[in-house]
Formats: sequence, C-alpha cells, structure tokens
Amino acid sequence: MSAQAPRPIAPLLTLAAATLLIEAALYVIAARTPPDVTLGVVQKIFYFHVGTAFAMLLTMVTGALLSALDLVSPSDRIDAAARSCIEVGVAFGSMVLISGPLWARKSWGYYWTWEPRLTLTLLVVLLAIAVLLIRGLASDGATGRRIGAALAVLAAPASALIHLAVKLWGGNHPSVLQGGGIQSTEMRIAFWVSVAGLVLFAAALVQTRFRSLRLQQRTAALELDLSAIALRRAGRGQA
Amino acid sequence: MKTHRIWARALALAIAAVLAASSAWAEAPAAQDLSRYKEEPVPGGALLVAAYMAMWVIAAGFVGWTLLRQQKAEAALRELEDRLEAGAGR
Repeated sequence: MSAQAPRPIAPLLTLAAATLLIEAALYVIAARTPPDVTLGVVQKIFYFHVGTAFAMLLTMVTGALLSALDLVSPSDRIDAAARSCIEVGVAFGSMVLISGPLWARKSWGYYWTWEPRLTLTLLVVLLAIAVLLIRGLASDGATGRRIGAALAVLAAPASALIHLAVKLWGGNHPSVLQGGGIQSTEMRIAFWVSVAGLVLFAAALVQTRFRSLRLQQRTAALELDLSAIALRRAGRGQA
Repeated sequence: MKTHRIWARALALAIAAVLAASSAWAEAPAAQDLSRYKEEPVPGGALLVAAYMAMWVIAAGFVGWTLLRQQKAEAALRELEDRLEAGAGR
C-alpha cells in the first residue's frame, strides 16, 4: 500500500459538476430572478437556504440508515460512509441554521423562534454533533462506534419530521413548493439548479471525506499490525 | 497518477473558463432596479450578503479541515511505510 495511491476521479467529477451548477445558479439568482414583491432582495437567500436544507436532510437520512446497517452488520466501510454523511450533514445544517435566521429577521421580524421546523432542525444538528463527539472522545473505539451509530439512527425519523413539521404542526415556515410560492420561471430555474448544485456539492464532500476516513482506518489497522509484529519479535527475543 | 493530474488540470481549466465566461455574461443584464430596497428599515441586502458569505465560509472551512485530516493520514501512512521498510532491512 502506498501513500501515493491513485486518486479516484469520481469526487473530482462530482465537484466539477457541482461547481458548474452552483455557478449557473448564482448567475440566475443574481441577474435573472426578480426581487420578491413583498420581501425584496433578501428573498434570494431562499434558493441556497432550501438547497442546503435538502442536502442536509439527504446526508442525515443516509447517515442514519448506514448507521443502522453498521449496527446490524458492522463493517469499516459502512462506518466510514455513515460518518462522512453525518459530518457533511453537520456542515450543511450549520449553513441552514445561519442562513434561515438571516432571512427570518426580514421576513418575520426576528432571528429565531421556537417553531417546530426550526427547533427540530437545531435538534438534528445537535444530535449529529453529539454523535461525532462520542465517536471522537470515546476511549474505547468500538463502544463509541456502537453508541454513536445507535444515536445517529434517531436522525432519520427526526429528519422526516423536519420535512413534515409544517404540515403536522404549522409554524412560521411558508409552504413554498406546495403553496405555489415560486412566482416565475426564472425563480423555478434558480431554485432547482441551486438544489441540484448543492446536493452534488454535498455528494462530492461525502466522497472526499469517505476516502479520507478509509485512509485513516487503514493506517490505524496497519499500526496495530506493526505493533503486533513488534511484540511477537520482542517475545521471540526474550525466549 | 499522471492521467489523473492531466484530468484535474483539464477540469480546473474548464471550470475557470466557464466562470470567466459567465461572469462576463452576468454583467450584461444589470438592469434590475434595486434602489427602492436601499431605504428598507431592515437592510435586506446586508442580510443576503451575510447569509451567502457565511455559507461559503462554512463550506471552505469544511473543505480545509478535510484536506488537513487527509494530509495527516497520508503523513501517518508514509511514516508507517518507512518503519516497515526499516524493519524489513534489519
């Protein structure tokens, strides 16, 4: 095994596609979409806010499902995939939790309110951070991995509830997609191109992080093998 | 390895070309009248800029952190290889 192993082309291609789509989205948002009639220019936060929320939900749910799979049949590969999804989910969740309140300040008059969708989003991000902290701080790696995976599974129903929160409990969040809130063709193009670009960007980050975690796992396994060989040699030397 | 480097350079060049072309194109329809939004009591433009900046700072931070972790893992792997080679030489 060499540290100079060939780099897979897939993350690079995903990143290139994401860059092109995000660039196209930024152009349409900046130059083609009209400012919202009531909210003005701040409405343009919406395109990336919803795109990052889509990416967050997808990565969190995938991470939760992979964690469940890792609990049933443990595998380093699945563990690395689950962990990379959750890490990217936290990054995108932070983007959602920053861009949302900035939009809300103009739209609702305040940055934060404990309405169902906001509260659930915060809870899911905190849950994912807790999973990563448990994984990072547990002295026994295997136990930390199991507890982290069990906790990560909870992110799946919680993410589904984020999606359904407005329907189930109401709240301040507008129902833009179902309620016909996107007024023009340019707005629809900007919206879907942003969503596609950001989801692809999240996929590229997951691929990159997955590769990095696999490298760390292999290094740790090699270190263990090397220590075992050194111990055996030392034992033979004493005999 | 060389093929991947060529691919990476070609992709970077393509992205740079698209960025340059679209930036030039984006300058054309600057006809949106945003003057009435400058007088708002809550500055929407500042909130918009802050939101986009925060998102890109987080994205760049995550990418930077991932690269650092990757470099650390690669360094650890190189050190292991050196130790293995030194052990084999004995």
